[in-house]
Amino acid sequence: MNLALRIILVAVLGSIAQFYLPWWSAVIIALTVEAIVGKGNSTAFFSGFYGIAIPWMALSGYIDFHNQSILSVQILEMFKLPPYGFVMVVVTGLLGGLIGGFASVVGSWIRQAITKDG
Amino acid sequence: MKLLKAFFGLVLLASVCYLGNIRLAGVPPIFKFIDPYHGFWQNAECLDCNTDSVLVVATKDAAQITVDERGVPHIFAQNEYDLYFLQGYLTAKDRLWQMEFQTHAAAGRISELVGDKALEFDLEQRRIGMTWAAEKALEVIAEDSVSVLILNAYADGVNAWIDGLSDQDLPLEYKLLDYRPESWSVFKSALLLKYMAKMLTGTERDRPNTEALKLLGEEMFWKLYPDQTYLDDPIVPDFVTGSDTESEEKASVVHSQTAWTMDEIQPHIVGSNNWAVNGDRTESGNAILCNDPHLKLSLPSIWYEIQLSAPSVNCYGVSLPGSPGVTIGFNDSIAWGVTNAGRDVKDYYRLSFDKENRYKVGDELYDAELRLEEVKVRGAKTIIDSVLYTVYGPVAHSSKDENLALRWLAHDPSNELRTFYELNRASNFQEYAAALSHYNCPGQNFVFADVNNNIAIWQQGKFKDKPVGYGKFLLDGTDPVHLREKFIPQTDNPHMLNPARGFVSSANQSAVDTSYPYYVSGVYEEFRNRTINRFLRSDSVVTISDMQALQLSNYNLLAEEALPLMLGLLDTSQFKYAEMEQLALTELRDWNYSNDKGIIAPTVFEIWWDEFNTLLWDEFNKQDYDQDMYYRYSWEQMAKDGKAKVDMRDTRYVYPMAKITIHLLKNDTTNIMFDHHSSNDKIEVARDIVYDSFYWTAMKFGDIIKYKFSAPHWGHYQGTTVQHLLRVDALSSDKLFVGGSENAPNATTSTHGPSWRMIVELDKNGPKAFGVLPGGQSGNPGSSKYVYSLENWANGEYHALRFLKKDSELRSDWTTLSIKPMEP
Repeated sequence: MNLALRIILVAVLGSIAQFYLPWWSAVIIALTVEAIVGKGNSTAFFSGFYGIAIPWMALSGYIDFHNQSILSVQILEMFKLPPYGFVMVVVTGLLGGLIGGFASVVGSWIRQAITKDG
Repeated sequence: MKLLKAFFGLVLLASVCYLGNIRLAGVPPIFKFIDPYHGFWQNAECLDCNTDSVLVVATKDAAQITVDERGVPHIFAQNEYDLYFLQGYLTAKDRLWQMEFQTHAAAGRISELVGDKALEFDLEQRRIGMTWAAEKALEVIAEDSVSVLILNAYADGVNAWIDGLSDQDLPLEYKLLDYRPESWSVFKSALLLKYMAKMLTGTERDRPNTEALKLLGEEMFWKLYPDQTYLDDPIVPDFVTGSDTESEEKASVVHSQTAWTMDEIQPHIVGSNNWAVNGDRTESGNAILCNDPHLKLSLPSIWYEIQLSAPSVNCYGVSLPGSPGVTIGFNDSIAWGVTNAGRDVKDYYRLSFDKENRYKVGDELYDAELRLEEVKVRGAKTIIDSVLYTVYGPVAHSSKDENLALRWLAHDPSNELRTFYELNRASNFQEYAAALSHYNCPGQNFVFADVNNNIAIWQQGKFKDKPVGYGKFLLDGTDPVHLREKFIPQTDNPHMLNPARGFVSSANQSAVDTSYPYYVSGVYEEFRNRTINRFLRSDSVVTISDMQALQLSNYNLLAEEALPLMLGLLDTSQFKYAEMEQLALTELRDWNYSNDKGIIAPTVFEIWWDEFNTLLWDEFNKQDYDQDMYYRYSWEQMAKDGKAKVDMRDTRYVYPMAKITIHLLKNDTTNIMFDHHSSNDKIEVARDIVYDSFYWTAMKFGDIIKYKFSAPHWGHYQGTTVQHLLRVDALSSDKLFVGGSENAPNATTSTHGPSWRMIVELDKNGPKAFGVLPGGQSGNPGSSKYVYSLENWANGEYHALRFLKKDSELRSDWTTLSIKPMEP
């Protein structure tokens, strides 16, 4: 499956899972998608990265917009980051993306380990 | 090889996920916290969403709730169970974390949440018997079916909210500290009331007095720490009691040999103002009642505004999250408010124990009861502390050679809640007086006004009938005389109804003058109360805006009385740092004694007053005190908080009252106290101390201006902070630009201030009320209601309080909650 489709798959399945389960359910999905339908190549990282980063940024951005950044600036201050709501949205996406990307890479390693075409 | 890579990759990923899901080194669980589906983002309230809704909960009947634009719920219920159920439910909705945290604090359970940094605090709560006190209160509450009903209803409501909470709905602080709420209970409400009792009874001076007596000797001690010496404007002048009783028994005085290691005595009074003016004195002809309780300024706001309406009751005011009913407020007929009585209701008895925990009182041997206190500590071992309980109460302080048992009136079984329940429904003076009769601790001055133009004030609490001087020092617990306790009859507590002067008022001053037949002691306010009474006496006809102006008055009577004396003694020919000294002097000379935010003079005066007291009362400063060290104040600290103040006080002592200082300045300028004990060669007098302190004031003032540590204007220098209960800066509001002084009616300091300002005019056609909180209704930092009113409060603005009717027309920015009872 090509990268764009895998990203969509991670994003959709991950978002559904997170309605019912904690955040790490998305990590498992990023890993599983790459392990089952991945290509086992260097694009693996990006399926998990974008697959989690995009929905996390979209949701936090939506919330932040409707909250006029009241909360995000306080959280940023707590962590000594510049007090602009979008910074928190980017940090959220980045953190989600990094753990998602890591999970997909591990997923592709699993695929490489158990399949011959890897 | 590939298998190995995949395996290690998986292990590493799992580890990162695990670490991102737990709280490490005080940092919230990073992924769990930032996850936009469940983490902090879910606490960011949508500001433009319409939240009208229907709610199905376990009430008995349907009910209607209107939430106004400030987030104040107006509950219209059909029965009392539903009313308090919904109060619990809505309070939990807005303040769950705060109400639980405060009851954890009362019970000494903060270490469970934050680790060993709260251990000392927790142990103190255990040793003074907070949970024991709450348990005893429960026993009395259980005998009163009304209290049982409302407390259970409230608890059911809170629990209904907690049960419906999913992870993402948890208040932010639970996510920061990564824990979950417990269920609420009636016991927790009882704990909350003890939390307030502790906050408001920190007025004992047993230890500092004992230490000061040792240091000064009898003669000087009584000069500096007199009893009842200054009684210029008591709350109830010339009070006549029903039964005159003379106390003859002489107290025994113990000179404690060891220093205490535990809690520090509050150097400042947690004070408040309240007053009521008769309709003959108001422009509208209606009585007006005002109240502003001064407490530590904190977020979430200490008070929760609410209207409670059911067929049997309709009242409005502020409530304490965790306790049912309205604490300060009004209904159609009356209004009431409270200030702290400041009476000493804690005594300490020295006892010694043998190996079997037995102790002697007189000839009799008693067994102390051992109570094991289990303090759970997050990330560390649970600590078991053993507290001995004696006939006096728990041994609150113990060291190698000293054990002090605490007799605290908050330990006596009582049901204060019943007082507020009845006040919420009272319609006249008799019902108000009857409501107060249930009230024991902490002692409060209850002010009253009604629509029929009656005004009253009553200092209510359970107070011991003590021999003169009793409890001023640590007492000898082995003397059986202490076991015979008498109490002042409730009707002999100072009170008055409709005095000829047309107003009643209290501001934490002494309640009575020497005509009162009982011995009273406490820590009393010296200035604010006279400014208020001066205004109420002089102005013949007052309006609501006059009352606002009085609550907001920054007039500093201490400055009016002390500054001319200090300036009179200031020898300008000694000026060494003339530029700054001249500048400071000019500011002071042109000042109108008002601690207004935008001027510089109060900054100079307050620094000078601190400097002057530090030099004058150097006897009570730390042992390692030396002048040079003192003036090498920390620049780092000054750059951080802008304050040129180093607190040199030895915490074993409390400085004498300001009026003593003024008395010395006026009448006794060569008193030996003026001598600086670190200078051997010279005997200083008032003039020397005045100049020395002024010189250092000018130095510090100069530094503030030169190095711009802060703007020199009083509002900036004072830098009032409203601090989040967890002391997290990001969730606090700091450096507010406000005026005030602890000696002014607007008693705003850098940390304390009016926690609720309320003015009520008792119009027969419905009360006209105004109020403002230094914060807001919501406890959620992600809500627009978290600090909704803070700016209004800082600017001295008030909101009109909406005393709604069930069928009141709704405004477009209000929301409604329709309550449907669950099918059984």
